This record gives sequence, structure tokens and C-alpha cells, in this order.
Amino acid sequence: MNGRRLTALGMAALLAGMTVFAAGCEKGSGSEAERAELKESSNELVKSSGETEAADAEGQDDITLRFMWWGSDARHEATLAVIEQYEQLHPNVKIEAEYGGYDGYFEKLTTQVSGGTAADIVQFDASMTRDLMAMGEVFADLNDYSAQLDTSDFDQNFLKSFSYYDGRMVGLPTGVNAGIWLTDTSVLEAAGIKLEDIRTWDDFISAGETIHSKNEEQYLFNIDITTLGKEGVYALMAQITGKELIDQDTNKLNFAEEDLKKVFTVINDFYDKNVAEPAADSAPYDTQVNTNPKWISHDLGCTYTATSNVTGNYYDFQDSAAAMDIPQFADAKESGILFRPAQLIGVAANCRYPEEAARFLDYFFNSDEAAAVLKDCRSIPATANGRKICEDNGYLDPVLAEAVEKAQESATANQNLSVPAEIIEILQDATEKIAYKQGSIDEITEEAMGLMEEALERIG
Amino acid sequence: MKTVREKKKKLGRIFAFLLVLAFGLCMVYPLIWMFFAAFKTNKEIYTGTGLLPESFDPAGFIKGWISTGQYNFADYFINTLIMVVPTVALTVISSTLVAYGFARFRFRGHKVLFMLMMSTLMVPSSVLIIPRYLLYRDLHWLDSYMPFWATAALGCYPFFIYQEVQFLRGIPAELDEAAKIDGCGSFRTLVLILGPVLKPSLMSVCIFQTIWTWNDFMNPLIYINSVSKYPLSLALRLGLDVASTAEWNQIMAMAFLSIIPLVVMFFCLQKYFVEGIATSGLKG
Repeated sequence: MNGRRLTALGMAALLAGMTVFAAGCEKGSGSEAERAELKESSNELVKSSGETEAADAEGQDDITLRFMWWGSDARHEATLAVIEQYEQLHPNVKIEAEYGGYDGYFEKLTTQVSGGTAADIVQFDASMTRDLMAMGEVFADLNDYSAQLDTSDFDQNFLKSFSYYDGRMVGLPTGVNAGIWLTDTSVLEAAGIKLEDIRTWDDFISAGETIHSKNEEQYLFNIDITTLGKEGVYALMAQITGKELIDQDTNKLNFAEEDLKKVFTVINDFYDKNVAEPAADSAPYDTQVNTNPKWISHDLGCTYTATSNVTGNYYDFQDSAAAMDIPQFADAKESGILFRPAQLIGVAANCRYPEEAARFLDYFFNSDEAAAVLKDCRSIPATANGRKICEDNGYLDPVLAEAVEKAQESATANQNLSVPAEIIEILQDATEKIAYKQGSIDEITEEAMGLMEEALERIG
Repeated sequence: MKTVREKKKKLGRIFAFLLVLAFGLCMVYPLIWMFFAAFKTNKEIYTGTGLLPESFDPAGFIKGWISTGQYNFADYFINTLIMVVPTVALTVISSTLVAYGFARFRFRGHKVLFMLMMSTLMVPSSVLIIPRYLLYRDLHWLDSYMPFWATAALGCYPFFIYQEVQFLRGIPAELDEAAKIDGCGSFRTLVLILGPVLKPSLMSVCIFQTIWTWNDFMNPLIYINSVSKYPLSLALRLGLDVASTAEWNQIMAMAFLSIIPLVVMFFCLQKYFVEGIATSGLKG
């Protein structure tokens, strides 16, 4: 009996081993690692509770702040370097970097906000302010920490337009993001068109016709339906009405059906008159127009995008690059050009050391050392000093700087930051229908108007 | 006459082989493309249609491996293993135990509980994100792998339980009875008698769970905050901003490396895999 039991035990052990081995792993190392991990996390718990005790006891304290952002590798490296600088200057402060890609960032942030576990310092998008603040007092009012954080170097109008929610300063702009009509003047010149001659939409469309008629391979406008249906419609509509798409107070459309028809007619001309590449050909490069082979081979004249998108090797015609003035209707009420913060950075309302977080942000935005490392990794800096340091050292692409200047002169605060996703989708669907000629302009306009009114009523 | 027929048979086989080969190549092509893209510049990736790169420059692998410099892909591989291995082992153990209970024992509420378990299969996972997050927060499990290990240890994978129940139902009850007559308890019956028969099914659980956990993006994204604990799925998207120009060769290189363990595992275990799937639907 004993012998049998022993064999059975042995076999059981063997079987367990086999199963786990077959899983492509060794159980020993797995559970050891598991234990090590648990031990580590319990150590951390001990450590952090020790920290708070020390903090309470002495007031001179070890402080840990969590800083969450999204971005590219260049942004990660620059931000980590600034954190390191700051930690060397303030040995009692530890800043834990929580960075990642853009995918899923807002799902994660909203989950954390609803769980009350958001990082102490959070990068977010200006279009998210409303949604985030609707979840409660998510961000602290930075005006409360003006002793630690100096905001005088920012353009005050810019702050007024984008940093405030409900009278509270919820975040500071990391950089200025402007609409840019990035143009390859050599394509225009080959067709005998001068950049200055394009003033109105009619000029723009006839220039497009000329370019395509001179060279079948070439088009003036490198644009995708997603951008055209959103930022494109925003710009065109702002020129017509001089207002936001949707009235914030009444939650009603700020334009009439004939206004939308006027917008859609221009979009229709882009595709109808070969100003833009046929939608079916440009579809694979939607939201990534810089990857269009025709753009790389210099067969497309210009694109409309945000300066924050123009990084790395977005374009390679530096010698012939220019920022075109946004084309306008003859009787335009405003330029409608995109002009907004690249991102905002705020301090969580439940942060335990808001003064320390504010002090870090002061270093992040105002110190020369940080500005020299960050360069334009969050678009063109929003502080005067930051921009000067970048300009002096040649960190800024002159075309981008030019576009920002142009936008700064003519842009208004009507930036359509909180248009509901449903409305955007309806506009983009309509744009798609126009591009693929799925009906007359009248039909498409009427349908889109109906859908938008219905959606707004529903959202109410 | 005979030789002609044999010849015909041989020709048919060659034809079938070529057909399968062509299909196989079509399926594998994206992976092969991914491997070669690791050597291409962005411009080559956007404009070129050819498979082979202009030059075999290993910079994509080297720079990609270093990542942002704070942590490299060795860390991310280790993190992934720490996350995946216990999860898979615990899933196999827990779902086998639960399946054994449902397949071999009649107890009060048996049917209701089984229905309840199956109904959790129908709950869309997005509904669970916030409640689960709040629960783990209160248990202080955030920013650790506990959310993965604990759900695996507690049999929260009804899909695998169902699969094993079906498999167990196909094993003749006479086996259990014979074991019982020989003095085997219920637990030893499971481990010694049913275990070996269950092996193909367990293997497919292993394969599925490894691939799913390895590739899972949403759950690590929500539960893991520290970059030092990022698994591969998060690390691969670390440098992907909204629309800025990523170094695709580095991402392709790392994506290629990250699937190698899965591919190797799949080929090692595939004969069990087919068996496990094919037989779990049969009733004995």
C-alpha cells in the first residue's frame, strides 16, 4: 500500500511537471518569479508607507510623483532626461514615468479617473478636457499653486482659451499646435502657379485643375477623408459662420443647411475637378497622408495637417517647402485655421503633493535646461522662452514656425474642441459619400443635417 | 495500366502538395514580410512593393531592442514570461478541476451553476473593465500581475472549462469506475487516470491561453502602470504617437522577435492541439 502510494505520488509529480513543461515553461522558475514579484511589491508597500511616515514626521520628505504621458520615442527620451535633471536637483523627489503609445491612452486614463488612481501629473488632450472634467474634479486648479508655478511666460490669451474649465486652470499647454498648409512649391511652379496667387477656394481649385491637366500623375491636394470631414469642415464652416459648429449653451447646430451645402460643394470640387487624388487611390493612406507614395515622389502639391504631426521625415522637400495661407471664401468671417494646444498637462485633484507637482511643472515649462532637452517633442513650445531657445538653437523647422505664426495672427478661440464624436462621424460619412459620388450634394447635405439634428437631440 | 494509375496518383499528390504550399505561403507571407521590413527604411516600406530589402542592416533590431533606453526588450520579454507562465499553469489547473467537477459529479444546483458559468461566457468584456478595475484597486493588485494570476487561479475562463467538460464527457465513465474499485479517490482518479487521457485537451488550453495572454493589450494597458512591468504587447506600441513618423523597422524587428516564442511553441505542440480540438466535440 505504501509503495503504491509512493508511486502514485511520484507519478502525480511527474504529470504535473509534464503538463507545465509542455506549457513551455518550468514551474519552478515561474513560481519563484511570482514569489519574487510578490515580495517586491510588498517591499514597495512597506517602502511607500515608510515614506509617508517620514513625510508626516519631518516635513522634509521623500516624495514620489507619477507622471503619465503618451508619445513617440523621441518624446519619451527627452521627457525622461528632464525628469532625471529634476531628480538630481531635488534628491528627495522621485518621479515615476508612466509612458506609452497613443493607442488606448484615453481608455486607460478614464478608467483610472473613475477609479481615483490617475497619475499625479497627467498629459491629456484639449478635446478631452470637457469629458474628463465631467467625471468630477479630476484636475487641480493650477492657480492655487501660483507660488510654485509661474505661468506668466505663456501667451495669456492662449491660456484663457484652452487652459480653463469652469473658471479653473486645469492644465497648461505643452506646445502650440497649428494648422499648416504644407506646400511643395516646386510642384506648383512646374505648373506655373505662384504660392501667393492662391487666396480663395476658387483659386485653390483652379490651381488644382491646372496641375492635374499639365501632369496626369500630379494633384494639388494630398488629403484624407478623415481629416477633410473633421478639420476641413471645421475650417470651411468657421469661415462661413464665424462660430463653433455647435453652440455650447443650447447644444444646437450653429449653421444652416445652405451653409453645409456650401462646405460640401467645395469638398465635392476637390474630388470632381481632380484637385485631390481620387478617394479610392488615397484611401490606404487615411490619416497618414505622408506615407502616400505620390507624396514621397513629389507628385502632390500640398497637405493640410497639424504642425504636431510634422515630425521626423514627414516630408523631404525642405528647399521648396512653404506654409501656404489657408484659402478662404471671398466673404470669410474668420480664417478657421486650427490653433490649439498640442496637449495639456495637469495635476490630478487627488495628488498628495500638489505643490511639489507644481514645482516640477515650473521646471518643466520654465527652465532653460528643460527647454533645451525637450526641444519640439511636444510641438512648438507654448512659452516665449521655450520657443526662443528652440529658435536660437535651430531646433525648429522654419516652415512650422511660420505656420504657427500665421495661425497665431488669424486664429480665433472657435476651435471646435468638444464636438460630439457622433457629429464628427456623420460629417466624415457625408464627406466619404461625396468623395465616392454616392449621391447628389443636395441629398447628402439634407441627410447629414437630419442625422446631426437627431443626434444632438438624443445627446441633449 | 497499373503504372499509369500510379503515375496519376503521384501527379495528384504533387498537385495537392503545390496547392497546400501555395495556401501556406499566402498565410505566412505577412510574417515573412514583417521579417524583411525590419531591414527596410520607412521610405522603402511606404513605396516599395518588393519583399527583399535593399540592404540587410541590423540597426532596426539593435535600436529596437534598446527601446527608450530606460528599459530594453530583455526586460519586456522577462515581464511577459512572468505574466504568462503562471497564468497558463494556473488556468490549466483551475479549469481542469472545475471541469472535472461539472463532468463527473452530480450535486445540488449542478445544472444552475453550469448555466451560470456558461452565461459568464456571454458577458462582453468591455462591460467588466471598470468593475474589475475597482475591485483590483481595493485589493491593491493594480500595477502587478495579480489580476492575471488570480483570474487564472480561480477558474475565470469558462471557455476552457467548457472545452474540458466536453472532452471529459467523451471519456468512458468505466475508467473512473475501474479506478474506484481499485481504491482510487476522486482526486487521484483525476490526476492518475484521467490526466493522461486529458493531455491533448490540456495542451490546447496551454496553447490558446499562452497566445491570448501573450498578445493581450487591453488588460495589461489598464492594470499595469510602471514601464518596468510592461509586457511585450505594451512595449511594442510604446513609441507609437498619434500620427508622427515611427521607426517602423524597429517596430517590425521587435514584433518579429516577440512572435518567435509563440511560433516555436505552436509547432512543438501542434499535434496535441489538433487532437484536443478534434476530440473534445465527440461523445464516447
